Amino acid sequence: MLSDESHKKNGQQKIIEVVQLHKELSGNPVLNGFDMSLYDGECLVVIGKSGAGKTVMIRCLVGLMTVDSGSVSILGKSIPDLDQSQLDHLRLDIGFLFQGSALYDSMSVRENLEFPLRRLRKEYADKDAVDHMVRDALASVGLEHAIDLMPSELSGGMKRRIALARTLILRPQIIFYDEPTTGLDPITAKEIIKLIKDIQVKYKTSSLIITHDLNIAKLISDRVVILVDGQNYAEGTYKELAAAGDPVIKAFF
Amino acid sequence: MQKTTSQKTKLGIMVLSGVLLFTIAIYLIGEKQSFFTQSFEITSVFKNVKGLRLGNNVRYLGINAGNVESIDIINDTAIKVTLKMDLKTKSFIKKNAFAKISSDGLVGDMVVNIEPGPGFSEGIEDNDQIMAYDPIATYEMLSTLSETNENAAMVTAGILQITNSINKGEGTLGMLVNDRKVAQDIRQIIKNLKETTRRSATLMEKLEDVSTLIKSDQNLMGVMLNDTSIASKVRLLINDLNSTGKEFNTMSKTLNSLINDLACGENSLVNTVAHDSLLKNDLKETLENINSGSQKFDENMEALKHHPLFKGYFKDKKDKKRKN
Amino acid sequence: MNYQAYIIEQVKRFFITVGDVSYFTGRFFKEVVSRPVEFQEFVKQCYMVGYKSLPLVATTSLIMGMVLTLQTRPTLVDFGAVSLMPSMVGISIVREIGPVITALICAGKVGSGIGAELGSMRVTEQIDAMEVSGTNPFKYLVVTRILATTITLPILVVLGDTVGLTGSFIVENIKGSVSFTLFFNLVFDYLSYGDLLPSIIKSFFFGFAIGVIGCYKGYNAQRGTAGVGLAANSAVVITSMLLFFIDFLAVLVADIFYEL
Repeated sequence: MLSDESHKKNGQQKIIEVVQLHKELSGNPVLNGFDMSLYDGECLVVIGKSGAGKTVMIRCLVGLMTVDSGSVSILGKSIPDLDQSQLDHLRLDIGFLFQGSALYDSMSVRENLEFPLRRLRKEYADKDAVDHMVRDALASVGLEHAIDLMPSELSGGMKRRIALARTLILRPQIIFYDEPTTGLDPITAKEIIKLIKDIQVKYKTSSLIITHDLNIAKLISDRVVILVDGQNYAEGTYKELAAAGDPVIKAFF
Repeated sequence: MQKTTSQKTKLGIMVLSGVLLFTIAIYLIGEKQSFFTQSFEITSVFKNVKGLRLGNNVRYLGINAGNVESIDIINDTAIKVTLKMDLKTKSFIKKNAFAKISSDGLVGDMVVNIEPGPGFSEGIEDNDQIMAYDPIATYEMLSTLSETNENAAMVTAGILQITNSINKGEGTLGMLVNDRKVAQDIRQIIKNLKETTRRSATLMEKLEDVSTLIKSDQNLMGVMLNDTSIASKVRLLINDLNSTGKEFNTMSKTLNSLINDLACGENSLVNTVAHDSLLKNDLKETLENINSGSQKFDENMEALKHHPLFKGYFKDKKDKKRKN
Repeated sequence: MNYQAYIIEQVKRFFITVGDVSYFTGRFFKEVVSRPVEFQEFVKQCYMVGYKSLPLVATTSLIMGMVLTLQTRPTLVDFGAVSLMPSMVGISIVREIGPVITALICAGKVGSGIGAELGSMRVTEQIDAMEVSGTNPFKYLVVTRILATTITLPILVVLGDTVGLTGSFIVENIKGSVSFTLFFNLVFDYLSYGDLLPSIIKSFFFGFAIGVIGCYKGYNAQRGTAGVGLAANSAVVITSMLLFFIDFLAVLVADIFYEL
């Protein structure tokens, strides 16, 4: 993977491009001209302190929040200009792993995984095919036995895996991870990080991970962006940044 | 999947029972307002409908038989009320029935009461118009009631008097009043009375003729004056007449009180007599005959008193009275 | 003058909320007619709202019917008008007590339930997750719930009325003696469409209000666990007040039509 990296950076197209993103929340500026790009097949980690605007940024990317100014384009489409159905269509190619897993409490694991399939594609009317996909997705996170459990019966790490399986089921091109290791013990966190890496290899996805956990950046990042005060403060590989002399960057490491 | 099926079943049962109950309620209310029963319409024109509203009940002899379908003003003194009637009552309502608007209880809604008219009439047809009695509003009703009350008090007092007198001594009347069989006897008596009166009336007429004859014929009067045997015979005749008159008097009194009893009492005799219109008519006729008979008799007696021929007798009688 | 500023702020906030709710309601009407139709979820919500509330509604209605009869009976006995009892209880239950009690019970049970459920879904990002996975959460969660409350509440009201009248009949039968047929005959003697229909139409609005407020509060819950509780609580409070307001309006409107 790393061996391909330089080739990608130079030759692959940008699949996400964020230029001069501004966003205010109840009068307070959160993002002040944030710039960022994600190349195809890349794993980009955005690091920032709590309240630096990471979550707001990622929400703006998938259209959960509207942007005040600036441009966001994903897979060549400008997010602020899309209408609801175009946005829904684009979202088929985007996976989103939420901070607290966000499994639907009222549904079993199976129903949770079926949820994105049933609503979107008419071709998933075949029950056996759906069942096969559900089991396949669960297999890739190693939790096939949990298929008929309810979310309340799962541990935090299991929930995170199931949530990951749910984002995988539509085989997205890009997966956004919002703090994938928050609230997990270090061992489980490492398992999740490994899983993210495996998935990226297996399904050939691009990843955008926002976190304050340096371990992730250290273990799986191709490139790291440091977000400070709503701006792209520094950008580079983990090694480059770790070696930098800037006190603000140094504070992270 | 099984879970959702049982959910659907339970939900289905709930929804269906709700809808069913609602339909039943709609039907029951509709039936009360006779939306679903077969019906026919009749109209009536009132001067004043006293707050009658659409949908108010219509009663035939006190039975709910329909409701008010429409109220239209025809002109300043006529309001046409259309009544939607249950078809079942059609065969009982006659053309001469009349409608009146009254309130259902003292504070209730207004209702239209349909009551049969007197005598025989044909059955009612669809869209017929029946006569209207103008309604009596509650306050008018109350004033009428108080008047009626006063009358009733007077009547009761009278009845009390009569009952007292019956209880006191007039055992015959008491017995009479309580005896079913007496009714028939009375009918017989009245028949006899009628016969008697008719005869006495004829008798009176004859007597009148005789007295005119006496008055007009001088010769005959002269003869009569000198003939004492005739005088004594005439005296005898007058005595008889007198006693007959007395008897008539008592008889008519008895009859009067008897009829009073018949009118006010509550027992079997009253029912018998009151419901026998033939007997009633007989009684009336008889009383009239008696009346005219005794009037004529009185006149004749007066005439006789002043007649020189009978002066002596009347003088004797007066003297006797004085002595007594 | 600080107080004045506070009042102005509160008034402003009130108007913003009213505008927000109006927009929310408008969005409901826009989405309810557009495809796709979430029928499966709608049926499920009907079951949750309607069937699950039935025992509670039935119990309260039964007790209300009994209490109403027990309370009014002695007075009517004094007036010698016990025969008016079924009609009186019937009219009170059908016109007012049935719909209002049922709606209040549902506001407490269903309104708070919806508020808490959607609130916790919002707080734990489940609503966002739905949106990201290409499902319109407004349609899936809000439209189905509002439709479910709007449609099932009148049914609950009819069932509640029936149970309430049965309760009244039971008491009437214990205290005096009246046959089932006679009792219901007397009940329906004084009932007209002018009593039944406005109360059923009113119930649709009650159900709608319960759904809209519960969903609005839950859907717009603030972040954090406290937001869930607040959403559930204010859903019940606002809905209950709104119910009485709607009831008042409904009586005014029904009066106009009834007079015609």
